[in-house]
Amino acid sequence: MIRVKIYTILALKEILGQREFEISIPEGSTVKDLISWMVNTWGDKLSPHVFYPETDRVLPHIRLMVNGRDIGFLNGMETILQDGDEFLMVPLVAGG
Amino acid sequence: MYKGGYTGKILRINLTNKTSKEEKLLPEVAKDFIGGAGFGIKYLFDEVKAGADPLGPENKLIFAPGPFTGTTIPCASRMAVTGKSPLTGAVGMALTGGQLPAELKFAGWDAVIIEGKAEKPTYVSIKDSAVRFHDARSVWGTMTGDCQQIIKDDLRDQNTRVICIGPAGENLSKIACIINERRAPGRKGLGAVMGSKNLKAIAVRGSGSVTIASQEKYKAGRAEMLKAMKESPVLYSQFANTGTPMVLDLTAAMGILSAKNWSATGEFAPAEALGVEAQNTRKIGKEHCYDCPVGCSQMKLARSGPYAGILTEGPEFETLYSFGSGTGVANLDAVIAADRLSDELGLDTMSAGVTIAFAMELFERGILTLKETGGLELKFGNDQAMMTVLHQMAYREGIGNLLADGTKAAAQKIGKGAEKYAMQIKGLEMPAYDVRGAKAHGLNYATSYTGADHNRGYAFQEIFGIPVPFAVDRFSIEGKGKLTKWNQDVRAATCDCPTMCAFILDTALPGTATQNTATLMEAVTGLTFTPEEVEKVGERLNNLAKAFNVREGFTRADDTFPERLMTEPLKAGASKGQLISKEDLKIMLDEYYTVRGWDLKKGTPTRAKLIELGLGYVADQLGV
Repeated sequence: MIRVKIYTILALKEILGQREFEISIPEGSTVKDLISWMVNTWGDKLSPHVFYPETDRVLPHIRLMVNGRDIGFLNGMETILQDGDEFLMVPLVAGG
Repeated sequence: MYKGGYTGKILRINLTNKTSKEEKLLPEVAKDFIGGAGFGIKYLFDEVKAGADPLGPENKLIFAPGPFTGTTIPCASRMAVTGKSPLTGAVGMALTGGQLPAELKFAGWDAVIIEGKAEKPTYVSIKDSAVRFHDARSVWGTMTGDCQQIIKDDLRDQNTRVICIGPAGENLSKIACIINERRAPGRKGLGAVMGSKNLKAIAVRGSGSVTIASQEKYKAGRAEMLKAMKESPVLYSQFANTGTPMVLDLTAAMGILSAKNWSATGEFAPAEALGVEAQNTRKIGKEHCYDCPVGCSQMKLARSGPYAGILTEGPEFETLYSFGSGTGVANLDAVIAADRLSDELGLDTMSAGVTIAFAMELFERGILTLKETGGLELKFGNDQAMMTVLHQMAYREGIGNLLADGTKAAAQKIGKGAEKYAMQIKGLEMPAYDVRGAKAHGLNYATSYTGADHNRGYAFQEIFGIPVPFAVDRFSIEGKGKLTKWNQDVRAATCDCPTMCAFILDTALPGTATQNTATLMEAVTGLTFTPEEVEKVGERLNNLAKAFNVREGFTRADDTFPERLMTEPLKAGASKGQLISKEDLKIMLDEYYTVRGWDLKKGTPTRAKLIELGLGYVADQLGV
């Protein structure tokens, strides 16, 4: 098993109940596996905020990062997580 | 002459001889620069000679709304204030919102140019075409809130809109801002320029309206823009309720919320204390700029300790950084109080907070001692010391006199290696985003014509992950020159000139901003633009502003970072290990100057580029 830190903010944090926490997942798990675990854990409370209805396609304004880097510049949903990785899931933010 | 949008009139006010005159807005100026910052920079370059003393009568202040201001286009009540910055010596341009920008259009003016210096404290009232000069002795020394109210009472018109300075501007603090209502053209020390002219305030009242060239096209263009805003996944559902503080939660998560004078980014990230949830415990209402359906501005009431009962409009994200994470103060009520006090004193919250954070680091390192601070334990996190110094800065008392002109000037006076800890570029204090973890955002800080200014080319691709015009890896330097040019030119052309709130660009129009501006320009003014021509206006503005700076002696060497960004990698958080090395900066700058068509060695506009942009006379002046 490996340890991965999940970090989220704003509306997603309200659903998950915490800004950051660690979980244990099997070695070789991908981002897709981690998202599946999150959906299984939080169910319908989380799914509509992350996926298109009735699909496992992530909404375009949900941003996923591993160790601060957008997964689009890693291996996308197939990015393999390592022990100690930080997984960041954030909704679209505005202002600045 | 103009079918709509423009009044076609510029008001020139000379404080030295108490005269005013109406001038025509030249059609080629309208077409080439649109309005707002475009007008400001055009008049600044043409009328303020090289080497002018920013605090002398030869400097000018140009107050310019845009052709959209005062219409019912949403989020367009904005106005640029432009002059030579006493803080940087470069172009000083800052924008404000609220009600006054629209009022200036209703009074019939596309821009107001202030020149000269009044013999004694003065305020000017503009009521439609009537301009009057008033003795300002009764308001000299007042805080900005009282000043506005006294002038309204004096003029017996509560609907007059007032823009003014506080004690900081009167005392020529180079980080003094200007305040209208509770908003501010805040940065670059333009409040000191008003103070140097003995100009306490300008009061504006208008009875007119803004003509629309084509009602049919206007209705269609406006409806399309409102639809885009409604479809935004964040604008009404989140941003309208939280305002800019949501960016604190985001940047803390991304490890780029600068902390403790940029020495502890990623290590000290007080999202629980200062983020949206904490804000909601202090929120009592919201404010809208003229004809803005969003209303992102939040009224907050401090509820604890010595700050209980203090009300402010804000604090915006940047102020949560400057008086919060930047100074190590994880106390929202203290930040609320500092925000309000800064507005009342007429100090730029950003430069003031960053300057205090700089002094705190010097104190912790022993470069400043209790002797210089007058016995204040000026350590990170000491909110009461922060409040004391803030007050002292506006009045130039105690250590406040040393800090009243920002970090660069203070570092030069202090010596002992203090310059290393001055977080500024071209003299302007750094905004909140620790750009070691957002490289295009950093390149914009380095190259912005106003100094370290996030608003001149905000890299929403890196901060919000919006893939327009293309997706970028925030940690990579690749392609960041091209991206920064695009961000700077589009921002200038679609927000700073017409004028339009930049938050709409990010949330609703990221891929359609130039088309939106072209459509609305034709509808409002009758002037036709392609989206490419709109972007060209932004490029022209950025070249002319750069040319002003070149004329003042700025070179490629000024497009740089504080040493810390280039030598100290981030130690913790989601951007751990990141920095922008000197070599990285060189590569990004080379790409940036290349895509701008500028001289690679000097980092300055070439004759060919200036001629291409219709700025041949600028090339002649620069001798290129």
